[in-house]
Amino acid sequence: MEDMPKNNRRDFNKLGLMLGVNTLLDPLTILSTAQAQSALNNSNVGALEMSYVQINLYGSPSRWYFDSILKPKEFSPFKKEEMISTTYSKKSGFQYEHINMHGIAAPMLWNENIKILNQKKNIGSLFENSMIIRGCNMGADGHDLNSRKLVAPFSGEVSLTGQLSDLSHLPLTTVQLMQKISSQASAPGAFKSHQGQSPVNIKHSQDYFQALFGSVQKEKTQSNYSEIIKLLNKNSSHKPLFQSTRANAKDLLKKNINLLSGEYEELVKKYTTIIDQAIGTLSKTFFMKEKLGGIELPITSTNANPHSILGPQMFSGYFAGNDDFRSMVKKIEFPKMAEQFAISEFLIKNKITSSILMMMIPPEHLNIENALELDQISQVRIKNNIEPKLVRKKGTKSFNESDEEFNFDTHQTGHYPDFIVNNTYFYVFSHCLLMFKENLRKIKKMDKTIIHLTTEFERTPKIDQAGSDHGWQGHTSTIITDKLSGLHLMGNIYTSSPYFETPNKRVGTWGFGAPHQELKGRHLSYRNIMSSMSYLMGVDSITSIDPSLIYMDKTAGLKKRISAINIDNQR
Amino acid sequence: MIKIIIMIFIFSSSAISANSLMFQPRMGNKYYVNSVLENIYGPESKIILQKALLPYSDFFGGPCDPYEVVLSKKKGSSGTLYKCFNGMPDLRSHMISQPSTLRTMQMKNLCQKLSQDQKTLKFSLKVLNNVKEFKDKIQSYYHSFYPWDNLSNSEIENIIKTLNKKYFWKTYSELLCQSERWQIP
Repeated sequence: MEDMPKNNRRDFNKLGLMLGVNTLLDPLTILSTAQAQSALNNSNVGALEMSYVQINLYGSPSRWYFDSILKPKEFSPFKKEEMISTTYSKKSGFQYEHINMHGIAAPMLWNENIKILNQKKNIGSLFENSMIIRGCNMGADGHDLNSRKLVAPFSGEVSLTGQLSDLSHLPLTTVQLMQKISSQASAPGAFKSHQGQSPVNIKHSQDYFQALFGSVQKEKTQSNYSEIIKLLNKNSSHKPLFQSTRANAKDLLKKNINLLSGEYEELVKKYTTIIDQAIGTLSKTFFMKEKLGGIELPITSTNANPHSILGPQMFSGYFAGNDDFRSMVKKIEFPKMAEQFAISEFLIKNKITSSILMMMIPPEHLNIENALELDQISQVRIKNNIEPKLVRKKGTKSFNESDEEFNFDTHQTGHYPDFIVNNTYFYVFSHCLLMFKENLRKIKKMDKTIIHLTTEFERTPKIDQAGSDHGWQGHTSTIITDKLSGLHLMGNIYTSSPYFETPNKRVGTWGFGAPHQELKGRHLSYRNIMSSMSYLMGVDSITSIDPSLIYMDKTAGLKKRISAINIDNQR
Repeated sequence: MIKIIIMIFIFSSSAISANSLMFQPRMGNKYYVNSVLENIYGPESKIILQKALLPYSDFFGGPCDPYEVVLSKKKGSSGTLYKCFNGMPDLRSHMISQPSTLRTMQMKNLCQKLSQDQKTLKFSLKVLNNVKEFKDKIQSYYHSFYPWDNLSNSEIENIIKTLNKKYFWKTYSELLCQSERWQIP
């Protein structure tokens, strides 16, 4: 015991001082202070004037029909891939044709005329003030992983939707309109805010207005006893927060939700009418002009695998045998599309939320005729005929389905249904989107709104045209806002996948991201897209390490930081 | 002396940094709120709570428990009813929730229903049966929600002065039910 050093008060003070300094310099303390500071800065609200609407097509349908631009200019290098088509005619078959619009070679769908608010417009006018960013390498495959990334680029970190909820003073945090199959494991589940807020999730089966304001509607009297509630909450440390929440609720009540429900119903009617109008004019569209007939059995084939011949007719794992594939969409329905656009417009117009996540629901009630399962088809040699034929097995019957659901994840959707259903979907969807945009413009909100149309990734067609797989090396994001002027196309792509993937060799242009000189030879990252949107909204980027792809030049106005070139990799 | 000043500086800067950390209170989830309110308003409140509280996992938090299964008459797994009032997605609701506009509005609606219903209000007022003084009654009813706390005399006076005499107990019950402090477990 005698050898032990004696501690006196001076040593104790020294130790205390060292510990104190250590605490001050401790990385955790520094980090927590910085985070607190950042949270405080973020809570300096009133600054957020923008609204953010993410339209998320979970499952990732083929977007080359609509907004995935595979040819920036008419003569840009491009390698034909059979399934990547924009037009069909009996004479020329499937072609990738384009129309020159807004300075790019746009998909043919842009040329379709539609009537919105008594004005004739083409679908291309949707993109008059927009930014299309293509060839973004998502770094990894997977629906849920990439879907979550669309709102929160760093896994488990703060999401854009969370950040906007923190910054906003409006009554509701992010409103998430859920898809049927999408779960919390996808984009809605990635919501995370600095201040620990929760999003407002509305299931697809719920009535959107009732889910949000059902309780308010039933209230008959508005008693104002807030002083007594304050008294009952006594000296709770959260009193200011409770008061601000209560004030928000009161604000909503003031808006007289009963009257507003009529406004919402009216909007639903308008969007339903525009959808009906779109369906009514389907037969006049370029993609429905000519009969697209399926192949009838028996048919000569040296290949015993039915996919080699019937691949383009595949649907949900079997072979559709429609005499005319246009009949697939004769009773097509678009569940919740009108309601989703209506509630989004309503929420922005009435200043109820600053961010909305729309998880779009795929179309339903598709009509399938004379379908055959794979094991119902066999290869035989018919008497006196040297060539083998694919035939329907004896004793088996083809079947019809009139209530099929479309799956945006088109692994088992062949070229024919893909062409008809996706074109139909984007045609009808464009009607709603254009009306949404024009309505916001009318109330002078379009320059304060960012519409972000996105999917987890693009698609790589199978060589037998029996479907398409995940093209995670080439994601596309389309941002529509009147904050921009003109169309800005960005992102380099290769004309062909730089490597073969067996068994389906992908040799054509589908949008595989290529590196950028402007980014010091690296690929475009989704974090760059995130920073670009934050730049447009005037908020700090949650991925500030990655630069925005646009910037403000004092003399030239808004400028692009990167190019949009098709790089011919000679494959 | 210098050391003391340095020490004060260090401690105060640490205190500032700790203070700057923002957080939101963890409010009790729907099961907690259900349990407290059922206790106060009695078995008759079950129907109201099942309609106006339990389906709102998004506002109140509280995932459903798949082990609490009730089998319906329907055959097959689709006939299985969980205590998830909106189906399986409720499995993923948060365990807790924070104060929010929608929660406040839903509580307003729920509390209005509980205090308007004669049976539930009557049950909640049973605690006043043996209390004679009006002021003591206000205090006793307050204890139903805040058993660990007392109202001061001036607070009681304030309540008597503000609330409508005709609907005193209905309004008092509704406001107590709406106040947030008891919702933090």
